[in-house]
Amino acid sequence: MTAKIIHPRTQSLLLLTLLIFLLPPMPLLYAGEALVSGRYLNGAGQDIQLQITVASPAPSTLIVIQKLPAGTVIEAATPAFHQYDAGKGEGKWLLTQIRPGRHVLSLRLAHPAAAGAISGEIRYMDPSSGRLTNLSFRP
Amino acid sequence: MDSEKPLAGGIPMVNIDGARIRRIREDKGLTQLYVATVVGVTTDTISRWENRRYPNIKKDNAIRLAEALESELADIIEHSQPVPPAEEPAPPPDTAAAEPATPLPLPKPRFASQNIVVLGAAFLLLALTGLALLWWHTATEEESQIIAVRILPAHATPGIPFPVIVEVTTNSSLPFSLILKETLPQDSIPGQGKPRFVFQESGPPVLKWIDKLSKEHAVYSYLARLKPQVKLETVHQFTGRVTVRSDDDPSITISGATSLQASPFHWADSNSDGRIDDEELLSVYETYGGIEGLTFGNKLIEDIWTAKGYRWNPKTQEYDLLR
Repeated sequence: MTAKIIHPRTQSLLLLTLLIFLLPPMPLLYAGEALVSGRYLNGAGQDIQLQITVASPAPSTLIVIQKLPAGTVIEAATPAFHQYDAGKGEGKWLLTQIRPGRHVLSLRLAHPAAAGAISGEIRYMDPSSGRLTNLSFRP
Repeated sequence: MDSEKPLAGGIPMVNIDGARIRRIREDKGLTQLYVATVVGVTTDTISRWENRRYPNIKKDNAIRLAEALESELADIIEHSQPVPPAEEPAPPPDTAAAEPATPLPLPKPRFASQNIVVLGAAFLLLALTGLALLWWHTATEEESQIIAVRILPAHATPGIPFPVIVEVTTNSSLPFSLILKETLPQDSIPGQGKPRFVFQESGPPVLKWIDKLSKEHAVYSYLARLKPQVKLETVHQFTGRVTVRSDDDPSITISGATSLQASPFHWADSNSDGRIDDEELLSVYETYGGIEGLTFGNKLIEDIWTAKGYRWNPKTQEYDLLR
């Protein structure tokens, strides 16, 4: 289904020339950059801190899953968890309209947790493929 | 306004200036089809309005005509001439613009024999100019592609609003005007639109966007809901067209999703398993979350996501959350 619109050929030629010269270096600029990554700033004890780094173009929404030992009592979460299943020790943050950059998520536990008992996972839809992406990380 | 005159039936009528309308339309590069589509009349009617000196038409049509021409009403109304007797006898709404055509008397041509050579030379010059213009036109014309795709949930519960998106993509580097016309199912009610639409309520709901596209990609979105009395499992059709300001192949059909089924499952629960999982939630936010100001019911969706599941309660017309 097409429709014709008149526009100057010179503009198209200029655009084509620009694309020829500008496009090849672009993959080099983006190569090796993960869209989203996560790491623990503090991954043991009573105060847990996660840092999420989001590159551009960013997915608009992330789900961050925090896995703790079963039965862990949470005293505070910043921002607040959207879901927390104390029986499983699994909490979820829903981060919407997220901007590229670094974001810190914090937890205060009732009792200290061991480093090996904690892990995190980030879920998002890859903006280019539209596929669900899972990213696991540990302290 | 001196050219405004109501008919006996109380319908306000105005005299418009046909020649001025044609001049404005041609200056702005608008086709008769484009103007006719915006006003909601046929191209024959636009042609009649332009070819008669001061046609007397309904004021509502004149207002829409001014909008289509991107002008003020005062710009197209005839001011100086006295109002002629109403030529249009309060027509029915669907034939509002069908005035009888009065052919203009043509002057009889008179040729002097000594002018034949001059006329022949002028004709030759005109023909050469025409050929040169044709060559220039074909040399500078390129085919641009416009694609319009509708994104629509596969199902929705009657009474619960769902979002619809029409994405228009083009490879044209120049701005152009378009009219997007979206026809909703008969048993549906349109809600919020981003950007705002013009709503036509006769028959099935029709939404119209008149816009100037100055970038490669534009999104037209709206909320709609099936009427609460709609029976479950029935299928409802959406159709739409995009008309651009062009003489060649000016109208394209909106492709993509065209039907939606009435269902007890929430529209965001795409696999209809009675819960909204992480993938469904992320998919909803990626698709609809980026449209600023479109309130597609994210609070309810998050509530269902945090719950273990949900069930549609036909008595309360709400979802019961399972904790």
